[in-house]
Amino acid sequence: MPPPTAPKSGDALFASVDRVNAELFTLTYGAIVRQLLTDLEEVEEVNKQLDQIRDARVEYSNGLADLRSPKFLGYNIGTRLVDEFLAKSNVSRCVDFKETADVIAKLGFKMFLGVTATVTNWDAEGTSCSFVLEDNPLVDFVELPDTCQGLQYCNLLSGVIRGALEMVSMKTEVTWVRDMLRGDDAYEMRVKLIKQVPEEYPYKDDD
Amino acid sequence: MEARIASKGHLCPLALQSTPSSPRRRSTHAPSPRLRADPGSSSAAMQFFGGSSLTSVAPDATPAPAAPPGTGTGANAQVLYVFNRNGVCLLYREWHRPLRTLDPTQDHKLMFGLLFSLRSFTAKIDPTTAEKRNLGVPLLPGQGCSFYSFKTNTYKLNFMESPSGIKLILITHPRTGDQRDSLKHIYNLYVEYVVKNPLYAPGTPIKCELFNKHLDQYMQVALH
Repeated sequence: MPPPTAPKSGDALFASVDRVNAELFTLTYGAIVRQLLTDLEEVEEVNKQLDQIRDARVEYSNGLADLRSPKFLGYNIGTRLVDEFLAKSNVSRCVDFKETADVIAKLGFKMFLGVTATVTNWDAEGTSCSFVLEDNPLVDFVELPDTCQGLQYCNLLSGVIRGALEMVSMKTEVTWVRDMLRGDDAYEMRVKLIKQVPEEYPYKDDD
Repeated sequence: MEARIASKGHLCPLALQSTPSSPRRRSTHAPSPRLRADPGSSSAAMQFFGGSSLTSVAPDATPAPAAPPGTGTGANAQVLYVFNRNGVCLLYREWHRPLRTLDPTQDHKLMFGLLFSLRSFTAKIDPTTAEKRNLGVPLLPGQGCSFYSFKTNTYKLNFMESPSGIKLILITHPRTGDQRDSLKHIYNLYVEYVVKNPLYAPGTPIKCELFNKHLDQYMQVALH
């Protein structure tokens, strides 16, 4: 049996994917946030829309939400992006959450943002950790005006991680701990694994 | 690990299986005269299957080069299924399927059920791990092992599952070599033309023309 293909390194992965100009990317994201602020007027509402705290899937199955609406921005991106990541990185299943976190930090961030994150502050059970970003391409040229001090500008990232992990059967909670736009010294995102969802047989027995 | 399971009617939901004796001859050799006339395509097929088939041909079969010239070229990719984790059949595409005895919904359900049970079964009989759960207890992702193909006397089922729960099933001629790279390529096509298509709503059947086009193209080049 030929050996399975080894996962690519972060750099190789980054080199193998299509890229766009970083400034164009930053400015496009800025424009999205700006538009959401104009449309929704409430900073809190914008935070929610960038990440979407409520479970989009549940609402979708209850007919309450259209997953294609920009409302589920980060989460929605995450649920799709995970397949691209898996297809291109050759990563197979991770043995535990620690490995998952490493893969996200070293490969995931590198592939999609061109930076790597550091994984720190593990709790005793190994179910929650922090991703620390020294460099964050989303926030170049960004300053929060006084009226938007509550804005979680990078909430898209937390939504993406939550969505992507949910597709590989991990329910997580992602929150921002430190944010350079609010005067902290780095970006720190806390990821907490709530539960792993076992694969269920989707049909009823009597079908 | 590769699970090979002797073909018995109750394990096989496919219509192909329901007539075990004759269809093989009919299905595999019918298109070969056309293909033999085209030296370009048959040499490409030899190259494609050359390396891997030695390792994956069943012990009772003769080594790869002895396969009749027709088998490496004609009607290799027969049926492709794509399922998501919820058992929704995202795509069903057939290139060659002589018999259909079930209605499509039933067929898809049986196929998904077969894969689901077989994965649970392969994990259960894995001789390398001590930790065993009862048969049928749901597995966490990453738990246990899975299979990537099995072979019957009339077809070979090639299987790939991504950690995100996308299952690709490719039915080919029983003498086809290792198809894991082809499945991986199909997964890449799926990402490129389905996942990245903003009009595609996840979890619904795939109706992307571009994807179907590239899939057909790939099948022609790689498998025929």
